[in-house]
Amino acid sequence: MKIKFDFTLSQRFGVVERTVFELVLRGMTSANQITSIMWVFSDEVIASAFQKLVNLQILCADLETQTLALSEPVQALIEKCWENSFDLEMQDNLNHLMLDDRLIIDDPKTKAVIIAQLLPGVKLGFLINSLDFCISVGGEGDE
Amino acid sequence: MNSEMWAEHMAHWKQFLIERLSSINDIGERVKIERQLKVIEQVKYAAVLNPKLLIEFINPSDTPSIEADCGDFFLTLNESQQKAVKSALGDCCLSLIQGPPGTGKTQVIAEICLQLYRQNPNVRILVCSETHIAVNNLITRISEHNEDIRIVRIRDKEQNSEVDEYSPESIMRTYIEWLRENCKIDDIVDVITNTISNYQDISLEKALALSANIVGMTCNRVGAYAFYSSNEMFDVAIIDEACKATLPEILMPLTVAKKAILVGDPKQLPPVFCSEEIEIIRSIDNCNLLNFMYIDELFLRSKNVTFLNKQYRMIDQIGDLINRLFYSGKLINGRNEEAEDSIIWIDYVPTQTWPLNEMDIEGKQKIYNLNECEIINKVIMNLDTESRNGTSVAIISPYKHQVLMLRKLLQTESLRNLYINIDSVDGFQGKECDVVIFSLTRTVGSFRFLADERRLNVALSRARDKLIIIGNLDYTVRNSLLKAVSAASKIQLYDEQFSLMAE
Repeated sequence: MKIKFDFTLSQRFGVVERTVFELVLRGMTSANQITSIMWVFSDEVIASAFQKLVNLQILCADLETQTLALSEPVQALIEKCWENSFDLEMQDNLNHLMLDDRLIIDDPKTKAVIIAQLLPGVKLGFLINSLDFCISVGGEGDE
Repeated sequence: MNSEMWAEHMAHWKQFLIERLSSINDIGERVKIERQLKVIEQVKYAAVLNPKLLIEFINPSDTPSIEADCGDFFLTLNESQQKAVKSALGDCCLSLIQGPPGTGKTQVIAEICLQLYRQNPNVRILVCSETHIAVNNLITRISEHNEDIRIVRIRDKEQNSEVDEYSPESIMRTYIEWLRENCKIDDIVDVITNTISNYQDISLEKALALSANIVGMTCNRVGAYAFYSSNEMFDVAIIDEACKATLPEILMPLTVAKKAILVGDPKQLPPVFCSEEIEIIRSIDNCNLLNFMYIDELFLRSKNVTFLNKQYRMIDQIGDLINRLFYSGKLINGRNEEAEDSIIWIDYVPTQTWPLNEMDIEGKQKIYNLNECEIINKVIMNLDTESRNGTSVAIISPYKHQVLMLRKLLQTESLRNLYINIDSVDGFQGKECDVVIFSLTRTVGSFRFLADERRLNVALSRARDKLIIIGNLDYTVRNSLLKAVSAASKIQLYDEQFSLMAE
């Protein structure tokens, strides 16, 4: 079966961090712009979200230009998830866990294996607790 | 309190909660108890955001706080209210305000919030109270004075989650509407809307709470969130009705605040335990949870207690009675209005002794009195003809079966001028009415519950203008407190024939 990998932020992140991450992912990189569009949360709460995402190396920050960007490892993972599809023998007992042809992976060991498969030779263990992966059915052959 | 006694008291709470947890199935109740157990562990290991506050709570310092210089007050306050505000804003991290009935606790709390906001527009104040009415009143008063203050009102999921202007749901709905109108990039609007709408856990509530100047919630609700770092700490926690909360409940806001202000009245109702809880407490060796309330002790021992000494609720005759019976002459009347016959006691000759020997499904005696129901029916009919339109009347009794019987039997639909509220004394704490009709219910048996000093204080101090007590004098004069109440009342004898309205 052809499958692709994708990932989301894990449950350790709250709604503010997720929203910031999604905005940066879609190209909104100005910290001021993000803060002003998310005015429903205080500056302190948004600043804490920036801090957490940067400390956990999901985002990186340029203090001079006050901009945020995806960290290099996250960017690399996105590219690899986008570019590659894999052949995988799905065991029958996993099929019933799939929802909309997607299987969420939150087991740390499996996540480590997926990261190693996507970026072999790069030590990205620090991302294991921050990301949850999902396997989706379909790849180049199914397009 | 010395550390050994504190540890023993906390151990009793822990044992009680563990046993209670094993005996209940209700999910909401279980969640509450689990939170309380968690906070006991946190306190045991001082795993709180400001240990200094915890130490002050357990061992209050001997020196009184240095009062703050507040400058102008936003609201009209009397001398004792001003003192309470200055003391609360002073240098001590724990201050207490004793507020007898009608002394303007809400006014004082609102002023404290407005002062704190003036000092620091980014201030974070956590306001906890057991009842939603108290928090709603406070929020209304604050928002009248300052529209810029950010307010969030979080209700317990376990209870009625009615949406109001300051609820997270309402705030987010307004925000998303704003976003749709003001953001030109559809993709960004969709991302924010989807991320926020699809979020399952309570991080949205927490983020809104940390973003607000004032957050209102119950003590127990505080335990729903994990606050990890000092930048998540509230500047001040204000705990209203502190004497009605249990110790584990009070500890929850204390673990997340730099400073705390406890507002309550040890002369009004303490936390009430149900019969199953009483049974558990009695089964624990040397357990003093039924007769030792740490918060009351704190009000007695602390050097930072301000007594609000002027009451504005009750007409003088009622105020004088409350002052004499419960506050040793320290309470002043602020309304300064007198009226004839403000306290009336209706005596009657019962057709039989009440309660009857009748049990409910739990095997407990059903305490009600049909004679009193009938008298009250007559009283409200008369009141309706002589009262102005919109007069509020509370009909209260210490006993739940009498409350149920009154709700069932009273003919309130035909009333033109009265708004009637029928409740237990405990259910009516924190509320007030123009007229209170107090049904004593018993004509025989123990005075332990009926004439409990704190319950009687609450029952008699709800009325603004008129207090009508229905009780058989032959029985009640055997209790000194009730005898004193009857001595201050105009006695009327109900001499009509009873028709036994239940049939």
